[in-house]
Amino acid sequence: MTDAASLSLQQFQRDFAAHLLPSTLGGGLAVHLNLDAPGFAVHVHNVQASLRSALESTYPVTRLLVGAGFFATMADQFVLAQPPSLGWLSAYGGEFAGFIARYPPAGGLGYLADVARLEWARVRAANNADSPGLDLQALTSLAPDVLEELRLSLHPAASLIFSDFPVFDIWRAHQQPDADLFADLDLSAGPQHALVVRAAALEVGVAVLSAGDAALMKAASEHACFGAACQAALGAEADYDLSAGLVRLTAMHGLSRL
Amino acid sequence: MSTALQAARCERSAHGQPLGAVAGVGLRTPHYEQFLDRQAAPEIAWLEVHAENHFDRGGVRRRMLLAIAEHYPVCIHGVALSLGSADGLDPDHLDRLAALVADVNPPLVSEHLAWCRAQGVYYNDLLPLPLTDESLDVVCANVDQVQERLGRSILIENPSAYLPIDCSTLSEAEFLTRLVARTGCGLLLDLNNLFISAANLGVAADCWLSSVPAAAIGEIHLAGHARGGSTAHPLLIDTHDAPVADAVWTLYESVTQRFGPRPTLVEWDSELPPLEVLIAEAAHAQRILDLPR
Repeated sequence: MTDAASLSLQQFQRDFAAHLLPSTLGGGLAVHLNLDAPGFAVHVHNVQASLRSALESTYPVTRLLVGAGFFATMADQFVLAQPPSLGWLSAYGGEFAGFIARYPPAGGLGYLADVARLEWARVRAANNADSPGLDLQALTSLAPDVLEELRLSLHPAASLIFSDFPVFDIWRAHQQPDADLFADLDLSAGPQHALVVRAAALEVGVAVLSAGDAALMKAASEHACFGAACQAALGAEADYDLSAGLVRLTAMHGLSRL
Repeated sequence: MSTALQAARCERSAHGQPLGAVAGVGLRTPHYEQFLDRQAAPEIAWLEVHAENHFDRGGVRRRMLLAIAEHYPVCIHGVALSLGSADGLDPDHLDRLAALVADVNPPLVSEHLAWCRAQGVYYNDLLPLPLTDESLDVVCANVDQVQERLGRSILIENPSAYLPIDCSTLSEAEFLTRLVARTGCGLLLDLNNLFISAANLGVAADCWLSSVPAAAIGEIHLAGHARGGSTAHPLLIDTHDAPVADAVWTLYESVTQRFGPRPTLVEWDSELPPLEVLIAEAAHAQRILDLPR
């Protein structure tokens, strides 16, 4: 449909949109649009540059790790593959880590997707609703068999990042734009598990977990019973101090209950 | 306009008070800490935020905004509702806007004459509408839906134009005039956008200003722009990354002399300078608002 007079607004918008992110939607030939006009290029630029910029803001360490040029190309590919569906950009980019894991040019950088997951977890920790989380004091009043069967969960603003790489160390070493990349990092240091939380009303926290803390949090993320989660923690770390661990993870706003 | 809407317009509490002839600045994330520091509270009559930056209820930014709104009037300016979408509004988007407006109780709520969504994809740009009777019906229906939901009237902003849309049958001024008459909405006169559209599309700013209903103008926006396009096809670009241009200050002075003063906002979004620079721009606007007329 190219006759301007009979063109519906809906068709106009579909054709126009198809030329903003060319690979996302099949558009018509759209001879009714002034695609060659310099003004159309302004809109194409606004769309692509602003969405790339949104990803740059969410993933600053990922960008530092690969450099601005590599990141821009990767971000542009992601925008074409998975453009936003919601009109508020704090919700955009949650699939970027998965995209990175499948992005062939980043194939040699096994830790990159994990760093991106950590950065996305920080955005969610900042934007998800705050909540008091697990009340340990209240648990002490429960009958033992009720406590045993109580189902745990992660705090609504918390995320667990389990990585085969020292993901927390990599992230922490790149908090300044001029960070000396990998100067003191041992990438073969083995797995590291991070917990990202809403540490306080206006504060996001990232912490590295011990084997016992990690096992307890993983069990909570799977909605395990309190008893099973405690057993998992004790089994994962010799001499694990269970009560200190529960106090620590609760104080960090890591835990909640179903 | 419904009776309920008129009643809602009259029902105002502390910070929902009308603003008067005062200048404010856009509130942007890097400046939040300064506005939260009560020992050194920046002096500015009012602030405005982009609605969509605060859509996460209970999130850090929302909490900071509500803390700032206890001490400053904060207006809500939407950039992504897509009032021109033939597909209709996103119900979740409108829900979040309504919740934000209920929490903040802003003196003014505004959006753009534009679209930014099609077939479930959000494009994050204010895209141009063909200005036709069909588009007018679509925008009126969407504005009606927003105003009914919010229980108040909103202001609609004229966007920057870069691209002539050949199938338009109405001028922008005519379109906005009919929109105001049909929905009871007001206008947010963005003088930088009008200046840009005049330069890019040959719209006569003076003719535009003579055509729209002056009484409906509830707010004025000012911002910086840049030169772009090519040598063969130069364009002005609405970058919000620079001081207000001299020519836009001149236009602002003539508009305030002609229509009387309006609440005025200085916007600055990229290459954000220290807050003091923004406040100095607002002081410039305030001097013009205070000129005898």
